[in-house]
Amino acid sequence: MFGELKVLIVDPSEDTSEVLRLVLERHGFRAVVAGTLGESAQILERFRPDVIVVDEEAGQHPSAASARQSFVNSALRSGAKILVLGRLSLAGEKEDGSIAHLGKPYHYRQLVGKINEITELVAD
Amino acid sequence: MPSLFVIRGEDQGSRFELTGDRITLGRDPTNTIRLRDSEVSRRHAEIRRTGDEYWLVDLGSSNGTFVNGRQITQHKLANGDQIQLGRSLLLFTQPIEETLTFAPENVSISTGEESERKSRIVRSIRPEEGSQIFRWPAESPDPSALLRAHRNLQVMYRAALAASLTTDINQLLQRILDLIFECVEADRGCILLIDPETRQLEPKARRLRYGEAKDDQMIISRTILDYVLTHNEGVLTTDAQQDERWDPAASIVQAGVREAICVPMQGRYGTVGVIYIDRFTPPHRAIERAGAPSFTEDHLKLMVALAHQAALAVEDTRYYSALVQAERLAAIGQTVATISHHIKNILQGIRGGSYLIEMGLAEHNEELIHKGWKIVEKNQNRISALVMDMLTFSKEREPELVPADLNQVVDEVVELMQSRAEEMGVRLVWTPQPSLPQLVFDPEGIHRAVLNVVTNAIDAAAERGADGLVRVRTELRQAEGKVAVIVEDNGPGISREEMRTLFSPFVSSKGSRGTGLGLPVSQKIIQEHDGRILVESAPGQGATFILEWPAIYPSATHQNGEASP
Repeated sequence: MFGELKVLIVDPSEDTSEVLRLVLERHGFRAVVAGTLGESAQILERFRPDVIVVDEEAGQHPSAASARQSFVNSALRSGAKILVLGRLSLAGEKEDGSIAHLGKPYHYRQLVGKINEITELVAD
Repeated sequence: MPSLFVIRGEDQGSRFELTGDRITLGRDPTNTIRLRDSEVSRRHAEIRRTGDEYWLVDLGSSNGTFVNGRQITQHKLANGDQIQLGRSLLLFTQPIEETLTFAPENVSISTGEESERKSRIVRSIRPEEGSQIFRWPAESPDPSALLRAHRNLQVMYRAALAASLTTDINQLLQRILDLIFECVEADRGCILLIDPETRQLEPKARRLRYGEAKDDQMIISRTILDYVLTHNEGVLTTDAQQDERWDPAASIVQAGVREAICVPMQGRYGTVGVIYIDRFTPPHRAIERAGAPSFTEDHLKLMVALAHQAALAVEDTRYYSALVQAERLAAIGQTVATISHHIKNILQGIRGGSYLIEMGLAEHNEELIHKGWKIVEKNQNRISALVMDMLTFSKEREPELVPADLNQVVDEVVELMQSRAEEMGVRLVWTPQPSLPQLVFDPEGIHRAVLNVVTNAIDAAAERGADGLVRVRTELRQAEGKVAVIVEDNGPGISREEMRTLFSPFVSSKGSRGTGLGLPVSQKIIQEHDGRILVESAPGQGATFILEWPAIYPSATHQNGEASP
């Protein structure tokens, strides 16, 4: 268990976000789900997540460019690390490790390991 | 095998091989070649095979049958003929039989000193001098010059026409050689193209005026070729020496004279090859002619002009082929990327569901197992639908027309979608047309077409929240002789921009939930029934999809349980 680490899941698919939530909760994280990048901005302030897990589907549409930019700005300002699932390039990506990627399809143990890695926690 | 390639119209890109002795063309599905062009008659024309010949016969069509722009009632088809039926344009192609007239492997380039020594250039001209073939010296009007200019103009026109009628380089080169042989008395001719990769000259077409054994070699002097390519000039050569012409003891009396014309194929961007022709005058003829040459400067100029025309056509054909190849590769790449993306998401769903099942089993948590199984099942359905849509979309299929009850087919769709609509908070209202008679259609295809449209309508209506509504109804429009399935939703409507790509494959407004194949598949199925899908929508005002096709009533054949052809 990793105490009160908080994860915000941004994924438009109800099925995969539900699986993610259940998996993360069972690994001791507190998880909250947002369907879109816009929705995530509101939750960000309230929930103050340590990690934001964003599925590529949440921001792939070209019209979501400005939403992506504002999401990255708010997320990094809040100090949260971002884990992108799939191939979504986020504007303003930095080389400081605050944004990590995990290719799809992934295994859930892999995902949990990655979250642990980016939060510098080592699983037993 | 001869074939027809649709180069314009609804079926653009389709290729039909001409098998059998009678091939019918028309809009009706019973034709051997069915064209989905509303301006094509139900039974428009027929291709009849007689031995190796293919005849195109108009079957009393409303809009006529045209070959190379001229209306015909019957016409013997030749390679490269363009057939116009309604708005559709088809290209007739026939593989060239390997005969004595086409054996490029029998052409070789000599480096031997023997042949090198004999030939000499007697005249050379620059490519721009080729245009002089149309000139008529005004100062000293010579009727024969006018005739020559007129004849040359005709030859050039025919060369331009030949170039426009084919996109096959080999066919084009053979036609150019045929034309040259009509106006120049050459014995042998060949066209060598520069391979774009190796930059080496490769024989591509060859023609002989008289029969010759297949293994006879046509040897072209390397020196002459090098001169033509280096200087970019057309040359007239002979192996007779200047001073030999009047000398009865000279070599021409013993061995005859071989004259040749070799011209560069100068295109827009460089030289693409050379055209070479030659003629052998036997000793007795050479003496009779008193050394007068067979090939003249006029011939050389005409050849230069023809070679330029052929070079432009070769460049165009190569450019066109490269473009088609690039487009094909791009389309394949896009298709593979899109399909892989969908499969990846489905696979992720299956992994998620499986992981929940695994957790449920470990925790003895039945609710978790059930949840996981539902996700696995849903993704199984998604991949199955994707595969079915891809199969329907990718292959040419004939609808299996049988008498069936349209209300029953739509009823099954509504029943199948009812629980999904409820889950999404959408009211699905179904109004069948009372007393709808049995009609002839492909029930499985129509089921799929309607299902895709209803699925989209539910997804759209769900965006309205609790007020989502989808209405489905059937309508027999007796006056129009049509039957329709109408699907209305009160979703956000379709923007003008979305409307443009509504039926484009792999374009979806539903993100990862949509494959972008649903509507193209529905459209394909309805078009296979000779019908169409009409869409009425405005942003914010929902959308109405009308799937309509001709109402066909069962005939006596159908009543006896036989499907229509």
